[in-house]
Amino acid sequence: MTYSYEFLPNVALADTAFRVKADTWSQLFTGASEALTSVMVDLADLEQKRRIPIDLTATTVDELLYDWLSELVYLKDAEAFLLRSANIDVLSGAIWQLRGELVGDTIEPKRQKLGQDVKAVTYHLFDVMQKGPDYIAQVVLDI
Amino acid sequence: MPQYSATQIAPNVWEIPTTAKSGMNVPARILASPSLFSQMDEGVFNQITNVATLPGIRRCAICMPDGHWGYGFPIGGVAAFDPEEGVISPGGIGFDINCGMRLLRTNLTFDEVAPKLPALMDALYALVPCGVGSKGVLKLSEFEYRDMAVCGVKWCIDRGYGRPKDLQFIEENGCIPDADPDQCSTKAFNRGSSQLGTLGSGNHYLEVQVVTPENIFDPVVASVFGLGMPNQICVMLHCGSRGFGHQIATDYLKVFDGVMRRHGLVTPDRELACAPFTTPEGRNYFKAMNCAANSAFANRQLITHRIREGFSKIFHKNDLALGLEVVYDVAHNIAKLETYQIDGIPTRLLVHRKGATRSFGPGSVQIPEAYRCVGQPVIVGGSMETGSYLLVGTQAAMDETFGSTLHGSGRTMSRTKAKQLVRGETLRQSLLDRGIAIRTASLSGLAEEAGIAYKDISEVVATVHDLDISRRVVRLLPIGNIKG
Repeated sequence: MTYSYEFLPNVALADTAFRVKADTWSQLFTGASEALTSVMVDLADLEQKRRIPIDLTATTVDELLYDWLSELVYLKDAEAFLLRSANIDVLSGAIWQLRGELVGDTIEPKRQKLGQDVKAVTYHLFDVMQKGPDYIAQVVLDI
Repeated sequence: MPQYSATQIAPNVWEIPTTAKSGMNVPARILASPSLFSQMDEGVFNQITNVATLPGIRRCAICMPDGHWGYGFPIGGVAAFDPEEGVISPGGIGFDINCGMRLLRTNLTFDEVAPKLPALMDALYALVPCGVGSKGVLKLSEFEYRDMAVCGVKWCIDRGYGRPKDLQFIEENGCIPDADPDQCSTKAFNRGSSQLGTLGSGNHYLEVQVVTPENIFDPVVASVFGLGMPNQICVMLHCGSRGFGHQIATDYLKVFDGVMRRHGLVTPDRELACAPFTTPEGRNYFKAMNCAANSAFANRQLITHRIREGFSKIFHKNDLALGLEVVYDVAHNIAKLETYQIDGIPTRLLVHRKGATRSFGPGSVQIPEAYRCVGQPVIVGGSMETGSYLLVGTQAAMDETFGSTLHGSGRTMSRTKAKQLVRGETLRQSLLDRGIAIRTASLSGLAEEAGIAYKDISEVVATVHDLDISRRVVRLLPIGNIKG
């Protein structure tokens, strides 16, 4: 299972846009969370010190991705938590569900190279799709 | 070049007709010099014409000369809605509710500050937390936060974080009425509880600046604002409501998704999610947004308190003796109920400003009594390389742009692209060589804010000056900048 992401240089000038591609829904969500976190910190500086269980449900896959990324932004402010790895499963059906465990670190500027603070996940150009064997999402973050 | 055909209808005014896009209710107007107009990115044209499709919009959708591609509205967008027939949209305000500017003056000169600038910057950097995850010195319970969100800056003054006189020089005296914390989520309180008195990151900053004699364009108005002493030192702040406001916008975007389905509303961009202002959801967002606006005023007040502490420590005088006074504090991401003449009739409108500043002219009772003879100060933040401006509001803004003007210089390239072109450490050294001391929580974040990523602020300001929707008073040059 794999995923990849790229930042888009010519979209939403004041903010940051990225596109993720993966071969499963779970990998797509994992890749999107890594792209989000990499805006805020050098991922190599994060240790796997804290574990937080997670269980989200939504009626559509795009709503679930929005909620997933928004939850990580919330945890950054409310719990000073940054995600290092996501052990998650995304289950499709009448109700979409994401469940699993977040593994990550507490924000500590003295030992982490910090980047930009993400304010929110926007709906601008927000897109989630399955195209053949590929699962693709596009996200614009408010910086 | 834009795909939309825009006609120049007056100097620096370009209009896109309602025929340009299906569903436009009013024309879209872009205020820009010919040069700035030709540089406007495609996102501006798409987004300002999208705004023109929203229900209940009056007269025209406006984009200021610092306009650039945002989400929902373009940055620099202004739109006014009929409160009975129109909508309220978080995408027309921004996640950072009441992101805004505050300008402080001192009675210090450049010669007095220059020898102590490194120590001053270190002190301010230690006192004003910034960057990802930064926490302020206060940790508020939800009960305390609710009180602060209703009272705004008065909450700070009552606890010794400032002087009663400060209140007079803040938009709405730092407390917008109709703020109801019951309309804010527990998540919003959790996000904001430790963040009062913090800058954040992105384009937020605290800057020590100097007003040199050649940069005083209107000595009379400058004098009314307490500026004009040769090489006077000022401090400028740019920040907003932090996680509390960001969460309120996030919460209501989802709420409005449902409201739109119920009311059969469709927008060209999902980020323009909106609710009729008369619905309970629309009203509740307005009341929650006002809480966030008050917390942003309080945030800038707490930072002001810390700045006063920093200057006192370095210059061994109390802040009164240093003349550290608030010139003004003004929002540039907000929606407000204001009255304008529409077809000769005074009309109450819900004015959205996203990356646009209120610009009330002389005589307005909503500006400080001491400034009523000249108009409201308009604080325009530029890049850390090129400086900022203080302007003054005008009657023309009241007549033409719903009492609004620009808010900054405006970006020309994305953050991702700027980082590809500029290295943070190189930029920091280059700025130091030019006499600008930098303190930053993120060198990559610094690179994203390089001057090359912004329009020429002097040209942007000249455009609004020529349009007379605000007039140049002074230019402020950076000598020290703290960036999150």
